Amino acid sequence: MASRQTFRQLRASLFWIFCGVALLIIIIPSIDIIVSILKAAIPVIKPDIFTKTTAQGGLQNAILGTVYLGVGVLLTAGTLGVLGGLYIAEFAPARLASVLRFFSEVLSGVPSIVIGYIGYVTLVAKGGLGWHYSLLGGVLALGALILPYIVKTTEVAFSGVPRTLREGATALGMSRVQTIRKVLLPPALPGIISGLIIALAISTGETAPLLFTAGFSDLNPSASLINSPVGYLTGVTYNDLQLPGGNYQALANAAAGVTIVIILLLIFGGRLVTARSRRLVARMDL
Amino acid sequence: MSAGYLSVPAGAVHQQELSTDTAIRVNDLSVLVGQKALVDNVSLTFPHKRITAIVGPTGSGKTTVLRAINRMHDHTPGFSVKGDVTIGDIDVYSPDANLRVLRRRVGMLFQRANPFPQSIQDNILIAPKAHGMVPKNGSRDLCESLLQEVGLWNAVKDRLGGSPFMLSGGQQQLLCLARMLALQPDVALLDEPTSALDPGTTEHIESLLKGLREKVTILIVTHNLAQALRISDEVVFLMAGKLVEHATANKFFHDAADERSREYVSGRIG
Repeated sequence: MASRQTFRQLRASLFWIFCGVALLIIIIPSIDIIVSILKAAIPVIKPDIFTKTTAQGGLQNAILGTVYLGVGVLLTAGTLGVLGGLYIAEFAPARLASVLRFFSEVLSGVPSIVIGYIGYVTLVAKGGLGWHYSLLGGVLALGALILPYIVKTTEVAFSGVPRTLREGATALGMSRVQTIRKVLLPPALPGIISGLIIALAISTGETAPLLFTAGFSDLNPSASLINSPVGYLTGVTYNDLQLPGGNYQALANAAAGVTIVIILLLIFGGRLVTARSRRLVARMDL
Repeated sequence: MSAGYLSVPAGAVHQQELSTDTAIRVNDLSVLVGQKALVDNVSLTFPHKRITAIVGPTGSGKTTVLRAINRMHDHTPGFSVKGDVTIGDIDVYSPDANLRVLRRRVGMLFQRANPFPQSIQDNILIAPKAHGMVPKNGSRDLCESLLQEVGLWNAVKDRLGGSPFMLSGGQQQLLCLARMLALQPDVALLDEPTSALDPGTTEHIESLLKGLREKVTILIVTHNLAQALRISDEVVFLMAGKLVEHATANKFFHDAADERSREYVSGRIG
């Protein structure tokens, strides 16, 4: 009897030890990455990198470019993805929904470099639309990359609304649009917003699709959507790390630092929204 | 449950004959999931402005019959319905039936309160607004009169803009009742509305239902035979998706025609 109990206790402790080790394997590298990036970046982040362009040894053009690309991605892929997720969750017949879901998953499996190359061939190159390296090209390539993610989070947000609410609205004779606007959207909204924020964080860290579509520019972005390349933070890191000389390395490190801070802030923001939504759903007790 | 407890005189009408004033007619109704019949060829009439309790053991098809009446099965994948339901002039399963009109006239209350994630006031007004039934500048009055009617006004009058999730379970169910009544339905379908509530709130809701009988035809699915005895005028008894007996409450509880009904009432089955 005693030995069986000891065995059981041993088994339980072993299980917890394995869980702990697995957790450390996940956490330590990510903390290591963040710490080493910030350690390299903090000494070289000076106020003037925010006021000078890369041509002058600063990051202003890259920060502006990253913001423009982010806003563009939210406007295009954000709108399309939310509507697509809503369609799959609420309107599409089951068969069509599963087909759409399949293609969305396929798109999410396409490597980002391939998306970049397709963007280059169809949007940038002369044989395609011939936009040259441009903001719009970058926005569309990044958008294609995160579209499946937004579709998925939106679909999950809507289908996670308790069935009892849907039935309550149906039984009151409310139309589908009324049900979505008044009953389903309020509880789904935090999930949708946090999905958008995380998607934005993912796109902020991307480089490959942009190299092919936005190109890169040392100067601040022009007002033109096409025919004019755009700088972005990850581009500075990518380009300048390959260049000889301490100044280039320093700028690359600074750009990586600013990128990681933006991404962390976005992820924390997304988390806050998710926590708020969890509290709301818990209160509903349905 | 002892037979002695159930032999307490019912508060309901002591009639022996079923009412002939029909509000809802159900003809050869079958509800199928794939090939399996949850409700098997049931024909019934529900009397106008009376309370009919639908009783039966678990899996007897009580809720399935109830949900067939306002076509809630339309939204459950895999369910199919055969047969006819008529409510007044509405042929419920006709291809050109207007579901919005049907559901405006047939209200429903669920087992668990399901207030919407909106303010208390908006919960009341959401359906009348959706159907264009709110009088100009009268939304506050409408709200007050409905909340008064269900006895919730004093508890919530100072927080109409607040969340309904701060209310107790019983208060939330009363809010849902008020929300249903806001459309002035002719028929109310109640699916075990008090099964999750305390005895005090249950009693309150039961007395409200007795009062509502004057203007609404009420169908209530209940597991609680004592409740059926307390409030119903007629009883429909189902077993395994089939209709066993439809009788006045008085007859069902004291002199049921079918042996299975008598066994169910005495607690030997169910």
